[in-house]
Amino acid sequence: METHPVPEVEEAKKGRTKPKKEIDSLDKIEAEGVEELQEKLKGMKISKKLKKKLLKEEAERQKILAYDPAFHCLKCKEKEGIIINRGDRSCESCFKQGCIHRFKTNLRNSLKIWKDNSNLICVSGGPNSMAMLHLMHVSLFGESQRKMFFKVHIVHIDDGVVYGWDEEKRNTNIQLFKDACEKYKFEYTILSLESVFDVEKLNPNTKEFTPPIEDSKEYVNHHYQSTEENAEKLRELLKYPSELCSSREDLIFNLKKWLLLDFALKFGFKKLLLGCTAVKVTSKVMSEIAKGRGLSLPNDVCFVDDRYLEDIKFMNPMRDYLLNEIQQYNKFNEVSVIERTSISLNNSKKAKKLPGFGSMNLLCEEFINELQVSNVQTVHTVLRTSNKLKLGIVEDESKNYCVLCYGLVDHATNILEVGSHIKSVSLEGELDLMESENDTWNTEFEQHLCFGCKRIMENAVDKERLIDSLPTFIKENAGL
Amino acid sequence: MKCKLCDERKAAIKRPKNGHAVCKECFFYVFEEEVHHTIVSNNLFKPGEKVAIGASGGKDSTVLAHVLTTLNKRYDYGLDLFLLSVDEGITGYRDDSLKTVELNKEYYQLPLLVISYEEIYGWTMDEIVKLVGLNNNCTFCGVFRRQALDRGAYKLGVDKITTGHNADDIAETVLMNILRGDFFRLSKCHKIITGEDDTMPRCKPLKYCYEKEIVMYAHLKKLDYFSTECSYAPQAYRGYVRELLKNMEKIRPSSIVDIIHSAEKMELDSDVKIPPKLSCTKCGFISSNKVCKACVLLDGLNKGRPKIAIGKKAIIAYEEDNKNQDEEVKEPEETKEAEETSGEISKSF
Ligand SMILES: [Zn+2]
Ligand SMILES: [Zn+2]
Ligand SMILES: [Zn+2]
Ligand SMILES: [Zn+2]
Repeated sequence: METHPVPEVEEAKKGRTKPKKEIDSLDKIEAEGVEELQEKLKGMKISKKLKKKLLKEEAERQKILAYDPAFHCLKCKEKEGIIINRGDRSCESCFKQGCIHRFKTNLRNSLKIWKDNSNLICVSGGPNSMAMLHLMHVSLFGESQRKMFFKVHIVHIDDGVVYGWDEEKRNTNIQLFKDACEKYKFEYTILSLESVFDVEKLNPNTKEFTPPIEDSKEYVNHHYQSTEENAEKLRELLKYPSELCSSREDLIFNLKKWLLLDFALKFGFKKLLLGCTAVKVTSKVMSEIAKGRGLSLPNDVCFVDDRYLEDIKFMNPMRDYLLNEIQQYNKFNEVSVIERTSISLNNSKKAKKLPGFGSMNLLCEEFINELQVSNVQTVHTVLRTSNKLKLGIVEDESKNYCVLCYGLVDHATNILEVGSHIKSVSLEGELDLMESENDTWNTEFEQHLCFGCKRIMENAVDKERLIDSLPTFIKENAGL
Repeated sequence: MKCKLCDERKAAIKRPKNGHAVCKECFFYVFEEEVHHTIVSNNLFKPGEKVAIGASGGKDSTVLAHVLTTLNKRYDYGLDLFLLSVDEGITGYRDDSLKTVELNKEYYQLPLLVISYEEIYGWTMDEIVKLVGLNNNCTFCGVFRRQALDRGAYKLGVDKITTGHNADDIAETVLMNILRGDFFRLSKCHKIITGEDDTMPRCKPLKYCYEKEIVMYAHLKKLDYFSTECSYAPQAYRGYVRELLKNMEKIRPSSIVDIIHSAEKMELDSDVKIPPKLSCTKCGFISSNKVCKACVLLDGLNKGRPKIAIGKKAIIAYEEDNKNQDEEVKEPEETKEAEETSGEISKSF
């Protein structure tokens, strides 16, 4: 919303000179400032109500006259604007209110969350999701005119194995999460990422899943620990995707998604809220395109992604929050967060020499952050572009979901997208040609993957072992 | 190390596309064969067609001319090939590159037509830059070039135009369109044939060729090409995107075609309005408004107010201005100047 002071001044004047029966002569009152007006009104025959109104209008007019867009808050026009966002200044209290207001609007208008009780807030503990947790708390329990009435449950995935955290570090972070939930009066559940190896059945195509646990409240404030055996399986699996181009990060992201889906199915949650903010979403648009994931991209970055079984939806209520907004919000509200180093910052010499440390996600995030500095409309424009794209869902049996990422299975439009269509050349110039993309993506497993995931397989350190170490339900979904 | 393709000769180069070590002979051969595959799998040409090669003297169009003449012979396409160059009137830059095109004409024995801004519009780019400065000159050049090519093609009487856009150019344009919010162009910039429903279709036989391989091919074949960037084109924004693409390629070489794959799969939501296709009431060439962008810009130049002509409202203003001559003036659609400014074209020639 962009409002400018000038028309508002005119608006206020107009209000003052609005013709009303009893005060035709008001046009002639020429007063500057509340006090002068008060003085002049003394000798006039007008009602108290109107007097009050006129004085209020004059006060408003004076405020706007004194308003300096280079100093004052745009919203209240009184306090000093200490936060600058896309050229507009706001004061601390207006800024906080703005954040909350937008969050509620997103919940109501974009996510259509009103009264249902099946909302699951997924909190990794990073700045974005911790800000979301606070916003959710204020929206539900804060002092505001427009209260919201729905129940939420908070879930956190402990991914300490991925980062190689020791017991102490894991416990500290889990405690941080628990403390936040208790402070905000939310019930929570903690899952371990390695539990994904215990998922029994979860098939995006046949829509089969482990039967729900009826009427059980066992998950409330519960920490589901996994086994050391599972932890070892996860460590083994993570050895095989390429360390480049975010293959490993993306695999972990997808494992989390499967685990969350399994949890939601077991306990009847329908709406899963993630903490993806604007820069994340925008960089994701860029990186997914570069990874050949254009088909699933619109779903991956939209407000409501409804492609999942049993009407489960993943949602991004924070989709339009900028990085500095989150930082400021967390600072003002003293929100504590779990610190993580990016997984892609691995130690191999090859990766270190590459842009973004070999991570496509990081490269795109850096790019967007830099561009946002020189052009404040960048994030906004990319989000708008992605809104214009068609969402993809499987409508008929000719299409399938990818068993690794729940994207749509898609094929090369031309074999030259895969690479060369030539296998070998004889000295006489005879060509041995590829018949299809399956000459490159040649395992049974790869036939159940989207283009982007086939690239993960193609670039894997060891494709066979990567497939071998995947959780059983994923292999079963590919008929293995 | 032996060549991965023939397994006989010694490998001499590493293919940028997939890192395979191959010999020179095999590299040339597969490079050409991949273009052939592109042409055949997309039905780019029919036997007997007259085809203009948009020739700028740069590496892309030089390699395109070379490969097309080679394949035309090898596979008997039966095409009548022509070289078509646009002379923007940029001292130093264009005269030198046109000399390169002249050399190509001799070497490949192809007829050449040079069509100049001056003869079509009465303005050279040098003159335009003097008037509009260095900030908006590319807008003029892009709009004028597109129409100049069409005009040249009609003059030659060809059936279609081929341009030297390579995979990197297309990938770059996809990213640009995302960042600029140009979803309409995003939905079509990756297409190998554009303007099929117009009278003058254009196609990009080098769609799947990596820029690095084109440079390698031109270099190893010792082709004559002109490698200086246009002296009037700062294009800072495109520079950022270009660098991003290069970085993506470093992380994973296939990023370039992966971006093209993504673009192929991204469809516009059915609610999104698509600009209409009209003919310019003034010059008759394709336009998304009643009067095409080229005519509006030209009008601005001739009336001595070129900066106003660049603005979005320029077309409305133009029509207001010329109401007397023009009877039924309708509010034009408020669409971005769609087809005729095609940013994609401004890059490689
Ligand atoms: Zn304020
Ligand atoms: Zn996938
Ligand atoms: Zn060879
Ligand atoms: Zn025209």
